[in-house]
Amino acid sequence: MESFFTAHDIEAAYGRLQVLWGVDLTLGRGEVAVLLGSNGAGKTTLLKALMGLRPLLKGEITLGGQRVERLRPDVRVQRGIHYMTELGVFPNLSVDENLQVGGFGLARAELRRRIRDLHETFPDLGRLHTASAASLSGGQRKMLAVAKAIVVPPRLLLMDEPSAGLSPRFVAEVVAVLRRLREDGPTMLIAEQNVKFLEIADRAYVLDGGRISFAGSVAELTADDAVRQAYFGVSGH
Amino acid sequence: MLYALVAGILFGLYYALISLGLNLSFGVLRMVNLAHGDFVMIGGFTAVVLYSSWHVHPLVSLVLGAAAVFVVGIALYYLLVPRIATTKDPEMISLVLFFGLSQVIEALAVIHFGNNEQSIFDPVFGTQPVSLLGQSLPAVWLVSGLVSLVALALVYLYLYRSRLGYSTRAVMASREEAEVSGINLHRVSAIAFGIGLGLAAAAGALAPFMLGGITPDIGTGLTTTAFAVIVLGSLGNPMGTIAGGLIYGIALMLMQTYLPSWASLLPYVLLLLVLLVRPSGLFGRQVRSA
Repeated sequence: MESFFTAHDIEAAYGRLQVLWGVDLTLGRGEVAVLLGSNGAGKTTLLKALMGLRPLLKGEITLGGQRVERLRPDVRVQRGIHYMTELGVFPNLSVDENLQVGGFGLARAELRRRIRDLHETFPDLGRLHTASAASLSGGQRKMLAVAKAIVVPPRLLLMDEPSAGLSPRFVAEVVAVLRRLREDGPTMLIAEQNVKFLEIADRAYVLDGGRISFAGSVAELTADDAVRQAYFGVSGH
Repeated sequence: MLYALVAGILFGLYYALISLGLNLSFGVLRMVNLAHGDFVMIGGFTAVVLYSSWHVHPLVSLVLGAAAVFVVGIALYYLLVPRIATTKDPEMISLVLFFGLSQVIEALAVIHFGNNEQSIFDPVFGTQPVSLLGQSLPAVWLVSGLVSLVALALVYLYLYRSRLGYSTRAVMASREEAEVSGINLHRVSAIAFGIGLGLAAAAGALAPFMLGGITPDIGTGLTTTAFAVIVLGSLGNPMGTIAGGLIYGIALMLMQTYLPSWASLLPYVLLLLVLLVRPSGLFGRQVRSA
């Protein structure tokens, strides 16, 4: 498949502490990749570096053949790179106000239509549209974060631990939502520790100590002994 | 007692108007603008000069001064803040820089206007007192209360009923989350900073009447008072400033009625009390989620 999003030789640091070394990622259009890694492996730093929130020591990032690594984060968003952070919402805004912020650049009528659509896709959000995001449950907040990230359809959606803090039931709900979302075709890179997200992925990367230790298809990943031991809790054949 | 309460509410609204801009700019920048009070002074001198030179009504000067300072505020933002933001310790650098700016503005005002107090002595708001809740009050106090209410209502509409306002509140909650939601941080922050200074200048146009007169050094004291008011209401929560202003205004009037010699200590006493007893302010829970 022709590459749509590439990150080549990405290196980033916090002050003098380098945390990413020579990271390479490639995704085809509409592909979903899961970035596995334990706490402290550098997943969030990598997503922030891809989004322009952490300066790069070196590396190139392209989307649809165009270099984006020098663009400000908000300009990257305008180019179609959306980032669902672990926080994901503005707790001081209502559900609909969050969606309005997510709908930057859309004309008023179009924004209203998109928000109506999202109320149908996420019925809880429709029911609670005037409620403060701070008052939502963890699962509802995560749904709002997903909805906010797709008010304007993304070309590339970066997601930071969508399962963080959720019970298994809500994790399954989030996976179901993402499964539906991938039918609309955005390319997705999901940083996760939870292997359940592999169910909806085409590719997988494993980040270990700031370096990519595995890159390949989900089938190749599940056949890899070291990875099986680390993430599935099983070893050997 | 009732007189002190009614006057306290009117002065409270006025102090909320003085302070709201400081809280708005703190909310988006997480920096304290120590030159805030100097823009009240600029608004005051603008009203005095326009009236003494061309008999421009202070309410017209209020609008003109606020609009002009709004534009200056946006220019000042782009001149100063993006540079500060890239330093290692932006909070500390901003304190020093805004303190320096305050000193420069004050020095320029002394050079231009001298050290003497200036005011508008003509009865531009009439000579007859007005009656409110059975209390006879100077008409200008009522005008000030109404103007402050209108300004506070406009800020409310901006923050809670406009898309730009949603973005402003989003920046107040998390600059990083706002940035990755497609919000142009500098544009939103510059507008909020400009509005903050514009509100200060608007309050300044009423200062010759509400504070008795204007001197170049009035800014420092007003910044302290404004800081006390916003800490009282809670830092980073603009609408909490209204409650902070009302509490401060009523406390000030009660002090001036019953303990007049202690009244000037009020901002400092309130600031210390709030920081010791409830550091997050009376509406502190809303700070993080403002």
